[in-house]
Amino acid sequence: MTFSQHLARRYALFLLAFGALIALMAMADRAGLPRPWIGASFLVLTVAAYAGIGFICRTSNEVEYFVAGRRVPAMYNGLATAADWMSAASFIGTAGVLYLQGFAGLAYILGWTGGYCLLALLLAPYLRRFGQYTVPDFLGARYGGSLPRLIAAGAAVAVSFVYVVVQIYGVGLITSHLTGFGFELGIFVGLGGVLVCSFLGGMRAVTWTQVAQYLVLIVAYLVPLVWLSVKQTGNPVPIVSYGSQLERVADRERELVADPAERQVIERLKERAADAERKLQDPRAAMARDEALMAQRVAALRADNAPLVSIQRAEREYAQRPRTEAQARAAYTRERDSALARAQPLAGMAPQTLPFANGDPAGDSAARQRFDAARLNFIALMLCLMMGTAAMPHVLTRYYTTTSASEARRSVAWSLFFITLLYLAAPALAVLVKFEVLNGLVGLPVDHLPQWVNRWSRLDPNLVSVRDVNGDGVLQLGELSLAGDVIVLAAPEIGGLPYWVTCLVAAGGLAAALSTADGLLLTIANALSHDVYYRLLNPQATAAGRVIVSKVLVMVVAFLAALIAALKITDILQFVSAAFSLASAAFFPALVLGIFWRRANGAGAVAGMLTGLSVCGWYMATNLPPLRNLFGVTRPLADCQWFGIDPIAAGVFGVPAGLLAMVLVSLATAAPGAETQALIDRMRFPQPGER
Amino acid sequence: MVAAARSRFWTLTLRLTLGLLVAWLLISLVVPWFARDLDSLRGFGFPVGFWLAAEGALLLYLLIIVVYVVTMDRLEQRYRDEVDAAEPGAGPT
Repeated sequence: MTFSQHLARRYALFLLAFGALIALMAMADRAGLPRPWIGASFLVLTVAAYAGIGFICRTSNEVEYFVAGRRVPAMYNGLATAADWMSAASFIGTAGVLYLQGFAGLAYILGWTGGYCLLALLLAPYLRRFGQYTVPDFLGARYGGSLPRLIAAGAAVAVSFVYVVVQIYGVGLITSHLTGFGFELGIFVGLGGVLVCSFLGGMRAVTWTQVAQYLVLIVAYLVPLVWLSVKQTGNPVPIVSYGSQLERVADRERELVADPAERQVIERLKERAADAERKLQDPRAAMARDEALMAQRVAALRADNAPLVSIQRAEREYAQRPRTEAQARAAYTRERDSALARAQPLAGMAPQTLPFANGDPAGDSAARQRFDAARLNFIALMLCLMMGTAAMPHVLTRYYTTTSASEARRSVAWSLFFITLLYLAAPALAVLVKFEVLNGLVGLPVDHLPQWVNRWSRLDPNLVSVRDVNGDGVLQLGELSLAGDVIVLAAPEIGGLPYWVTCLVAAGGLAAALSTADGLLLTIANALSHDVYYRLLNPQATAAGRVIVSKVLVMVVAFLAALIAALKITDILQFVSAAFSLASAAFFPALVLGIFWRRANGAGAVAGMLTGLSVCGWYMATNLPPLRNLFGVTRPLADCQWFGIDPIAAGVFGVPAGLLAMVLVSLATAAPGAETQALIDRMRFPQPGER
Repeated sequence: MVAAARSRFWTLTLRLTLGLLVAWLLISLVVPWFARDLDSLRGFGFPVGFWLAAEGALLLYLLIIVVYVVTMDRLEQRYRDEVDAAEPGAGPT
């Protein structure tokens, strides 16, 4: 039996076992097994399966540990890359962004798939032929000297670290939602699963776990989607059927924009914003007044014998009241901003299909300008994500694990195929969920909302919250706030599917977050152990010693990332996009020119990487509000923007700046020597014995 | 002979890469740029602009890579054959 057949049999067994688990849980759910049990079973059994695979694949051999023995067949590497690639943000966040931003969210879908063209055409096969262990390895060998390697290792660590924190945040969110553990405890439980894999077996264990994790996550994503599609349209192929739902959602959106109750909510929200603005003039007095008011309301509700939900909601508001002047000031500012943001048609959400909806090419000059700016930003973000995709170190190293350059190319095609399966599904899921919300949820009495609304708002009011703004007792769209991060996780509940589907989806989200975290941790640890420790600090280190150093680093980095994730930074996608911009600016020019331009040299690469990173960093520091505060930037935001591009897409400036710097400095300094030319030849041409 | 095979192989590789990159860039720019105009048409049960960005472009990207995989395998095979013919036993087999 060949290796591939062997693998096919094992993973078929795994899929069968997973199917049996799902069936068992579905029956247990119907038989009335308590909910936390079902959630915990999904969590524990899937994580135990990953840990088991990690344990079976444990290794201390260098080639096995760093590149899985370089014998992963193309299709399996494609599966592993897809899991490695699809992070918590892809699984949890993408459909959420599409739900909230409509067409604008497709920039992520296009960027995260189109990037694979760059990867296939420009990088993957060449890096495989080069055949070392890490991305900094390539830059070090191609450009010589320790500086390019050091900068590359630093950038790889920084980018991957930002990204891994986001994954661990996702792990915490999902475990706490699935089991009722606290967020922090959830983080550390999930972390155990990651560590067993990358710690014991390095790339080898991570690869074979990721294949299993892909299977889990794709099943978990497609089951609720197909179910909702059948339920709403009777058609089991959602990517075909959601066209009709799209139309109905658009009709319903037009209805809601014209709805008098929705308009009333908008008016009230505007009053609220003005009210908060007044309170901000004297927060101390406002705080005292509010406290008394809230206490009064709780008492009044109790005296009225109001429904328990309403009392609880009022009590929660009272318990979360600001205690100091600084807190009050922050709370009023937040209230003003959120009220203003929501005091718009459709609660500030973009219509689902209309591209660049906040502008109009046929409108007045301001509307035309907004349209052009939105279109430009869409393209900038998309290009940035594409170049970042091609330059992400944790994805690039995956192509070192195939058997040959030809297999590496094939493997990129498989990767994109498996990734596309999920990205075709995300817009469909967003539309079907929106259909449920607009038609099923909006219009219900506020005191009789489905249970999930209360459960999620208890878990974190930033994720789901409901306030009867106009006091008519009926839920308007403007009164419901749903964060993007809950759209996928809560999709089964929103659609009225049984509870076990919710747990299945959560298990899929966990698989997505864990698989990406695994790959990233390994990339960070390998950059530090292989490129910094072995190549720069201690070239005498033995292969076994290097593996041990890498294992220790995996532990340390994982704990650091968990500590930072425990700070609970919301808005997952913002940070991911920052990582993409930085990765594209740091690596893309140096990698591509290193293969396709013989004249590129070390000085040029150093100049290019530093210029790209600085331009990107500068643009973010002057344009992202939190960083502006940190660095005390006082210049008005409008003056800091170039061509009106959002800081999220800073890579579109970083990459060209890096390319330019690299070309100019390379031309101004000596051409690389014969050794480098030989290396380039070795990458460009099929080698003796290569299959 | 080997030098000629090498230069031919690399020129063809570059041409293929460039051609597919142009296709990639065209798809990536045209789809979002004209999305609003394309939305007035309907196809596959969707507004065309939305469908292209949500499904069509993804499938085209996949097609680009598949074309690249197949063509490169052929180019490499031809290169190997030519090198073999020029230097029997010495070159890559």
